[in-house]
Amino acid sequence: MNGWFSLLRRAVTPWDGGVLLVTATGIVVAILLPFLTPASHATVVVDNQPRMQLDLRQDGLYGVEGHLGQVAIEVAHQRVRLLEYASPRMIGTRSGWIGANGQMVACVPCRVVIQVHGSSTEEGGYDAISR
Amino acid sequence: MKFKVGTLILAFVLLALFGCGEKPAGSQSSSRLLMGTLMTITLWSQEGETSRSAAAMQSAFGEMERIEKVMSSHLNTSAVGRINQAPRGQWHPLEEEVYHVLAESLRIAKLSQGAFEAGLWPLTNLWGFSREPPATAPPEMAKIESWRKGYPLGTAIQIRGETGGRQILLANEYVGLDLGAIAKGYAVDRALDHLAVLGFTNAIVNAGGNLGVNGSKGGTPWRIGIQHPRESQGVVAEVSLQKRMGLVTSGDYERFFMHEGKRYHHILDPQSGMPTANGVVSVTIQHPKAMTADALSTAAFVLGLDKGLELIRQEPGASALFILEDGRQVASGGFSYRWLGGGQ
Repeated sequence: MNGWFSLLRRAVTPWDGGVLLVTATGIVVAILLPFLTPASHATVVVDNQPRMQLDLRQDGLYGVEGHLGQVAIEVAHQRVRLLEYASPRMIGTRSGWIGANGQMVACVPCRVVIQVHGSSTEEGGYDAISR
Repeated sequence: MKFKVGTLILAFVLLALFGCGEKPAGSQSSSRLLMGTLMTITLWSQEGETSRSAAAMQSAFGEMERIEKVMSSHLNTSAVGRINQAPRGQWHPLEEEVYHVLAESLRIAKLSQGAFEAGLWPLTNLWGFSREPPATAPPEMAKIESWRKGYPLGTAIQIRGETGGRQILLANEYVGLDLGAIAKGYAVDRALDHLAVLGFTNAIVNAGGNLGVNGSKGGTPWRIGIQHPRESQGVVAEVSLQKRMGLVTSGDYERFFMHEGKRYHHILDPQSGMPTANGVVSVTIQHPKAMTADALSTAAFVLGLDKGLELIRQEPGASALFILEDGRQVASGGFSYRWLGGGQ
């Protein structure tokens, strides 16, 4: 084993080591970044058409015109949720807050969907939920 | 600054491989509101297939949109809507595709001895679960009783004829086509077929929780959660699938209202005209065809645990997981799952 280290030391200059270290770090960060970074924005879709981009780093209340009137959307602490329209069919309201990459809420009768951007995996790491 | 050339070349190659290449193999999703629910398609695509898979998903959505235009009871212009507007007690032309779905509906109706019926549109309207805003109180019991006496169980819908000359007869005004408990499953099957023809055999089509699964994600099974019936964000069980399979859940929590402390949900018992109340809160069915799984999940829910299990035993390829009001879970043979219990 010592022989290998000695060979490596002779073959690689300190600058080589620096280049390789920076390269390897860059690759690891590039691979892990999508999984570690909280989603930064969400798209509000009405009638299957993108209507609005929300910056999840800016807390606030927003409104969008859905099929049944105004639908209120709240952004806080890098998460987003649908408010109002107290219908049992409003999947979005019952879903509560979402903030992870790929998560989605919908008010089906309002035809409003909010999708947080990122990978496709559903909540809890599932590929889909049967409900 | 002394570099060895090999190190620089190695660094360049690594960066080119990981930083500048096509998107690696992985899953991609796209969603649309269709058939009164949120439809999501997830594809496992190989490196370099990103743009092709996006086009394939749009094409599959197009196919489901076409099916909605044919089978929706809400649209007067659909094939089903036109039948519902036609006079009762007479034979009317029937589209081949609707015939295909109705034939399966009638098969499950017979197998379940009327626990599944495709003619409940007037009853569904009476309860108002599909209305906007939805009903918040049950209809007058006299109206339910009148419907119950008028609906001819077993002979409500008749179909006949050869390819190209199909016909349908609805018995009376208490009968109206409502394919809501089977058409989403059919659309899921068609979308999976469509994707397979386009070369994507690793996919999930999710029609508001009614799933069709094909293949795997790069050799790893798809990981499917089953909704907790009483915790909206919870998952009660987990299923792993890596072959073509439909997975459909019917539960009393999807469309319901509370009235004077009682839960009224949308899964109606054709015998009584009332929301089913037999101690079952959800049934998940696995069947190679999502259309059949869709219809069986409603039928098994209405039949309850014992008769529901008997129904599943009669249908080749079907398996079921029942969740009961008291929290117990009962699975038929062939239903492989991991029970998680509380919300996950």
